[in-house]
Amino acid sequence: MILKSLLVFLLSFAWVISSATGQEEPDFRKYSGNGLRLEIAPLGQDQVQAFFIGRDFSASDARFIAETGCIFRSAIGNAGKNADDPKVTVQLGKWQVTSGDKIRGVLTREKWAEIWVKRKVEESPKIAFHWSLFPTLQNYSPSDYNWGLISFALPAGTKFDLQLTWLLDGIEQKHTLKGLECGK
Amino acid sequence: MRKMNFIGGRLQYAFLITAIALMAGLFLLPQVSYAQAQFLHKMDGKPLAKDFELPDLDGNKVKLSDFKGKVVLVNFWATWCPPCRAEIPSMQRAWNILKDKDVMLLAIHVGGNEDRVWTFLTDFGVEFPVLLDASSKVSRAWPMMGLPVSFVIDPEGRIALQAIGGREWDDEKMIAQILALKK
Repeated sequence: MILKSLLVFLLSFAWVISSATGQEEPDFRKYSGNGLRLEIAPLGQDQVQAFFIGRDFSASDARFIAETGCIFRSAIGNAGKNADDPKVTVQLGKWQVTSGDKIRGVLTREKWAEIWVKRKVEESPKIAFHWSLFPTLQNYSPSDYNWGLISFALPAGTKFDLQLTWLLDGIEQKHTLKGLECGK
Repeated sequence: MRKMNFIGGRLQYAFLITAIALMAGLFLLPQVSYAQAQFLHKMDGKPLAKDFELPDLDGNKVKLSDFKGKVVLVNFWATWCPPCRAEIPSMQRAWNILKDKDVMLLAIHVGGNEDRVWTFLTDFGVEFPVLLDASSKVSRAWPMMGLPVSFVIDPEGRIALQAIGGREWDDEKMIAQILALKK
C-alpha cells in the first residue's frame, strides 16, 4: 500500500513539474460543427498509470492500460445554445480509428469490461473504470456534454486519424480528425 | 456530518494516503475548458424516479422516497471527475438558496472510498447531503451513462428535469426552473 501510494505520488509529482516548466499539453484538439462540440487530448503513460492506481487498480493493470490503451481525455456534447436546438447522439461504437492501412473501432467500456473479467480485476477499480470512460452511446440536448476518457487501443506514440460519427436530429454526420497521436 | 478525528496513527496514515490519491486525481486530469449555456432540460415522458436507499457519510440510510412531496435535486458525481469537481462550489451556493425553500439536494458519489470523499468534501466546504453508491448499483439503475449528471424530481416523484454534464447551479435561471416545480 505504501509503495502504491508512493508511486502515485511520484507520477503525480513528475506531471506537476512538467506542467510547471511550461510544457504545453500536446495535441489538444477542438472541433465544433453540425451540432457537435468536442475537445480531446492524449494523456501521457505516467498520467494514465497514476490516475488508475489512484482508482484502486494494481500497478500491473494500470501499466497495462497505459501501455495498450492509447487514452485520451475528452469532453463531447451538443454545441447548441438554445433549448430548442436539435438533439445530438454520439455513437462511439461507430467511430473509426485509421492507423496505416488498418481500420479499427474505439475500445469502449463494454470491451474493456471483458478484458477486466479475463484479468480478474476487482469490483472497485472496475466501477471506477466504467464511469471514467466516455459513454458508448449518449443523447445530448443543447448545453449537455459528457467528460470521459476514450481508449483507441494503439501503442504509445502511434499516429492515427479518427472519424467521428454522430446524429444531429437523427441524421448521421461525420468528421475526421487527422494526425492524432497517442501519448508517450 | 461526522466530526473529523486526526488522533490515531491509522487515521493519520489513511488521511495521508487519501491526500496523495486526491492530489493525483486533481492534477492528472486537467479540467476541460468546456463552457455551455446554463439551463435544465425537460425529461421526456417524466418517468418515475427509481427509489433508492443509500448510506450517507455517517452511515445513516437515506431513501429518495422519504422526500416525496418535495422537489429533490439528485446529482451523481465522483471525486476524480473534473467537471464534477468544478460544479461542486456552485452546487454549495445553490444549496444555500434551496435549503430555505424546502428543496432537497442529494449528491450521490459513484464508487467507493469513503475517506477520499470525506477529505474532498472537507476541502470544498460542502454542507449538502452526500450519499455513497459504492457498488454503483443505483447509478446503473438510473437513466444515466456518464458523470456528472443531475435530475430534478418533482413532488410527485417524477424526473422532471435533467442536466448531462456540469452546470453553474446557482445560475438564476436554473434556480427558477427548479423552484417552478414546487406545488
